[in-house]
Amino acid sequence: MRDFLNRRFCTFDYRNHINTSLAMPYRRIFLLISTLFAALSLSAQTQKFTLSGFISDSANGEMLIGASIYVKNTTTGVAANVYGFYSLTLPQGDYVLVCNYIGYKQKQIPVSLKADVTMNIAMSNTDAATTIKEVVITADRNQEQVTNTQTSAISIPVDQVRTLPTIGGETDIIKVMQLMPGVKRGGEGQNAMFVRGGQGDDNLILLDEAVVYNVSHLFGFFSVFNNDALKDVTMIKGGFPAQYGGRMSSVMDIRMKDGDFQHFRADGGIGILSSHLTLQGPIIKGKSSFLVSGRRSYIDRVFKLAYGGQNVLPYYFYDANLKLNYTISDKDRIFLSGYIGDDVLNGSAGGDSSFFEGGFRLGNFTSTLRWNHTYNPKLFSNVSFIHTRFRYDVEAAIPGNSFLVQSRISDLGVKADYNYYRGPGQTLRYGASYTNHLFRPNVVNTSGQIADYLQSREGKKVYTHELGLYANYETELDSAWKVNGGVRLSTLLTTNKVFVHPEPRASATWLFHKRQSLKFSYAKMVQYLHLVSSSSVALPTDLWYPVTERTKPPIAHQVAASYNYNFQKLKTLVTVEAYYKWMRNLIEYREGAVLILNDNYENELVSGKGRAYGFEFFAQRTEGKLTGWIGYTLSWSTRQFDELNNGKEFFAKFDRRHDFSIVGMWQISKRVSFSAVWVYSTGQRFTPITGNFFMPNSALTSVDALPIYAERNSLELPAAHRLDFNFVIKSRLDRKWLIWTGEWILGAYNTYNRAQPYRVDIVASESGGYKYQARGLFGFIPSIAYNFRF
Amino acid sequence: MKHIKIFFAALLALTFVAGCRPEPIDIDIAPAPVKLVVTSQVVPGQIMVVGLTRSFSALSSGGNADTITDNFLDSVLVENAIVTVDHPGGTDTLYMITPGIYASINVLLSNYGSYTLRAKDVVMNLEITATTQLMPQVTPDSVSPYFEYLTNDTNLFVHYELTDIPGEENFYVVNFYRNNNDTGASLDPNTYFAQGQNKLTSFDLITETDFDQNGRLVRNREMTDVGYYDTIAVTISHISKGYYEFLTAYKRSGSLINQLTGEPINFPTNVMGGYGYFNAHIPTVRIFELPDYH
Repeated sequence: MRDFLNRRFCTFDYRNHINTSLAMPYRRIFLLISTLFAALSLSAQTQKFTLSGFISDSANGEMLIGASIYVKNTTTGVAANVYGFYSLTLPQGDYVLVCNYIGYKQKQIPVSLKADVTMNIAMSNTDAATTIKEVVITADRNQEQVTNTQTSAISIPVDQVRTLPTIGGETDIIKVMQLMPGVKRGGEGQNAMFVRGGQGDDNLILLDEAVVYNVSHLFGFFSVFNNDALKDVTMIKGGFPAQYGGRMSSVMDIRMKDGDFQHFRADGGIGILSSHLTLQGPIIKGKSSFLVSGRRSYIDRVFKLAYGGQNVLPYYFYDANLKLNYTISDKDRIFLSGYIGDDVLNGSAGGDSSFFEGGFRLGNFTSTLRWNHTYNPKLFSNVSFIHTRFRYDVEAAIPGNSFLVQSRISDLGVKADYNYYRGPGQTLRYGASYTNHLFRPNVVNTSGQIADYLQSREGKKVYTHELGLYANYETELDSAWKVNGGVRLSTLLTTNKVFVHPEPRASATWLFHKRQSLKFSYAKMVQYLHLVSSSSVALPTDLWYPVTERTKPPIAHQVAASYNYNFQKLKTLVTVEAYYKWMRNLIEYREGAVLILNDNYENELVSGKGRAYGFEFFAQRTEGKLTGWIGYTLSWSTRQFDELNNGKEFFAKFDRRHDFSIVGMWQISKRVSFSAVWVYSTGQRFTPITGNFFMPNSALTSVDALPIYAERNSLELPAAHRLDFNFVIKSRLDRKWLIWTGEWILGAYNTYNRAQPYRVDIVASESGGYKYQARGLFGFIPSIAYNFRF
Repeated sequence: MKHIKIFFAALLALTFVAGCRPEPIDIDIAPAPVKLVVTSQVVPGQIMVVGLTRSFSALSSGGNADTITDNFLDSVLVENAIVTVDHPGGTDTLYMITPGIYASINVLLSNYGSYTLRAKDVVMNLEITATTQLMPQVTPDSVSPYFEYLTNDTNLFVHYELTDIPGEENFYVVNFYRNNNDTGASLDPNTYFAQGQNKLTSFDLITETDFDQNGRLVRNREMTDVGYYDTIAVTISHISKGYYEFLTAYKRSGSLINQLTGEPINFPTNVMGGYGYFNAHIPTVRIFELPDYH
C-alpha cells in the first residue's frame, strides 16, 4: 500500500544532502540567533536530519499554501510556507508523516530518516475522481490553527467561497472578508473594510506581494480581484508577523494561482454584470506553466443595446491577471505575475455634434518577479522585485476648451525574505524590504478659456523611501508552550525628515489541552501613507499621500488574546478572541475641508488619537456536506481630536456595536448545492442636522439657514440585515465523453427586500410636516450566472 | 445578433425590473433645543445693531427654503426681548426697531473696548450672554477696480493693498459687493439689514500668513457676475479671531464639495447659551461706479 500511495499520489524525490556551508554573512547571523535562543530550546541533542520539499496538488501542480505535515500521533510538525515549501528536522528514526490540507484527502507517508531527505508531496483533491479506495484517516485540519502562534488570522478557502451569494452574482473575495468577525464593511455594497476600529486605508492589501492601492471597481461596489485567478487569501487582524508592515489595521495577503502544470484548462463564466475567462496550462509539462485571466463588465453594452445604440451609460471596468512560472532546478524557481485593471467612463453629450466629451480612467497595475531559492533543506529564500502603480485621469472637453487632471502613485521595490527551519517548531524568518514611492497628485492640463480659471500645473512630485528590516523567531518551549518574537525596524525617508520606528511583535500559544489553546499577541504597527478622501465613498479623486514633517505616521499598538477549540467530531474550529488597540497620530479632515485639487492638503488635516476594543466569536466548519461559519463581533471604536467635536471623544464613523453573520454552504447532491448568508449589523453612525439658524453673511446682504449638527457620529442608522442565497446546479456528471462541464448559479441578494440604511433624508410626512427617513441602496436583486470549464 | 440582443435584454430585465427598491425606514431624531441666535453690526454712524432670532428644528421647513412661510419667519424673529450691552461707558438697553432687530445710539464705541451682550427672550424664557471686543477701523493703502480686456471676454478685478497692524495677530475680512439689480440703482452698503439691495459676490479672509515679511498685502481679486455698468463696493474690516473662525466655517459650508459630501461643520460661537456670533467692528467702505473705470 505504501508503495502504491507513493506512486499514485507522491512524487518522492529522495536525495541525500550534506548540509552545505552557508554563505558567510548568513552563517554569522544564524550563529548569533541560534545562540540567543539556545537556552529556550529543549530539543534533544541527538543526531537530526531534515526532511524538506514542496507540497502540491497532484492534479495540477499548484503549491498548497499552509498544508501541514506532522509526525503521526504527535504535535511535531510544520506548515508549508506561501510557496508550498516545508522543512522538518527530526531525530534519526522511522516515522509516519501525516499531510493535511483543507479540501484534500489526508495522506500518511512512512519515512525512514537516516539522512537529509528532499521529498516533494503531491496531495489529492477530494473532488478528484478516483476508483481506488484509499486508507483515509479522519483529518484534523483545524488543529494547525489551534497549535500555531498566529492570532487574529482568517484564511479563506477560495474555491469554497466562490459560490457564496453576492450582488449581481459577482464573486467577491473582499465581500466574503466582510462577513468575518472584526471586519466591518462601509456603506451598502461597498468594498471598504474597517478592521478592528481602523480606517479604510489602514489595510495592507497585497497581490503576489505587490501593494494594491485601489481594491474597487464601480465606485467601491466590486473588488478588483478576479476570483478565478486566486489561490489563497489570508487576512491578519492582529499579532502581525514581522515581515508585514506599513499599515495599522490589517494585512490581506492574496496569492494568485501558479497555473496548471499538467493540463491545459479553461474556466469561465457569464454573469449579469460581467464575464470572465481564465486559461492555464503547462508551457513545459511539469516544469513551467502559465495563467491568463480576464474579466470585463458589459453594463455599457447592455444599455447600448437596450437604448437602440445610444451610449447612455458609457462605463465599464476590466481587469486581467497573468502568471508565469518556471522551475529552473530543484532549488530554484521563478515567478512572474501581473495585474492590470481599470474603471473607464467615457461619455459624450450632444449627439453627433458632441458638445461635451469627458470621463475618467482609474486603475492599478502591479507586477512581481520572484525568485525562490532553497539554499539547503533548512533555508529557503524568496527575493521579489515589485512594481505597482495606481493612477486616475479625469478629463472633459467642450469645443475650444479641455482639461485633464491626473494623479499617480508609483512604487518600485525589492524584498528579500528568508525562512530558516532550525528544528521542529523552531523557525527563524528574517529579511529586508525597500520601496521607492513616487507621489504625483493633481497634474492639470487645460486649454482654451478654461485655462484662465484652472491653470495647468505639473503638481508636486514627492519621493519617499521606505525601508524595513525584520526578524521573527518561533520556538517551542515545551509540549504546551510556543512563543514567537520578532521586531521590524521600519524607516521612512521623506522631504526634510527621517522616521525610524522599531516595531516589536510577539505572540504565544499555550496548548493546555490536546485540542484547546490560549493565544496571546502584541504588535506595534506604523503607517507611512494615507488616503486623502473627501467622503466615505470611493471616488476617483481620492489620493494617497505620504506622511510628512507635519503629518506624523499613525501608530497602533494592539494586544489580543484568544481561546481556540478544535471540535474534532463536528469538524469545527471555535475561536473566541478579545483585543484592545491604541492608536495615535490618526488623521482626520478639518470640518468642511476641501481636498480636491488641493496641494496644501496638510492644512486641512488634523491629528488625534483613538482606541478600539472588542470581542469576536468565530465558529467555522470546513469539511462535510454542510460547511460555513458563524461570526459575531461586539466592538467599540472611538476617536479624540482637539479640533473636532469640541475636543470630546466621539465614536468612529464605522463603529458598530454588533455584527453577526451566518454563512452556510450545503452540498445537497453531487450536482446541486445551496449557499446562504444572513448578516446583521448595528446601523452605521452618522451626524444628523437636527436644527438650523438664520445667519447673515459677512456683508449682511443676505441670510442663510446654517445647520446645527448633533454631536459627531452620535447617532446610529437603523440596523441593517439581509438574507442572500445561491443555488448552484452543475451539469450532469455522468457524461464522461463531454470535456465541457458547466454550472448554473441562481442567486438572490437581499431576499426580503429590507433597506440597508446608508443615508437619512428629510421628507414630507403623511400627517403634514416633515420626518426623517433612512434609505437603502439596493433591494431584492436576483442574479443568474453560468460558469464553465473545459 | 438577434439572440444576443434578447439575451442582454433578458439580463437587463431580470436585474433592473425585478430588482426592488426597498422601503425607507422612518426614524426619530431628537431636534436640537431651541436657542437664541445673535448677529451684530456696528454701523459707521456709531450705532450698534443686534439681530436676535431663534434656532429651529431641521424638520420645520423640510430643508427647503421654498416652504418657509411668513408665519414661520415670525416665529423665529424675537420680539420684545430684553437686550442690554455692557460697554466701557456703562450699560445700555437696546430697543426693538423691528421684530428681531435691536439697536442703540448710546453705546459708547471704543477701540478694543469690551462689550457684553445680554438678551432674554421672555416668550420662550431663553437667555444668552456674549462678550466681544470692538476692533478698530482700518484704512486700506489702496483699493481700485480695473478691467482686463481679453479677445472674447472682459474681466473685472479689484486691486487692493493693505498694511497689517503691527504687534499682534490680526484678522481681516474684505467684502466685494455689487448692486443687486440691473437698473443702475446706486449701491448702499449702509442698508445692512435691507436684504436684496446689495449682493455680496465674494469675500476674502485675511490672516497673518497672507502678509509679506514687511506686513504688506497686495492682491487682485476677480469679481464675477458683475455688469459692465454696475456699481461695486468694497468694505475692509479688522475682525476678531473668533469671528474670523466663524466666517471661515461659513465659507467652507458654502462649498459645493462640502454640500455634496455632507460632512458636518460646527460653527464656532461666542454666544453662551445660543448660536451665532456677537462681533463688533467698523468697516471702511469704498464705492466705485464702473463706467468711470472703462
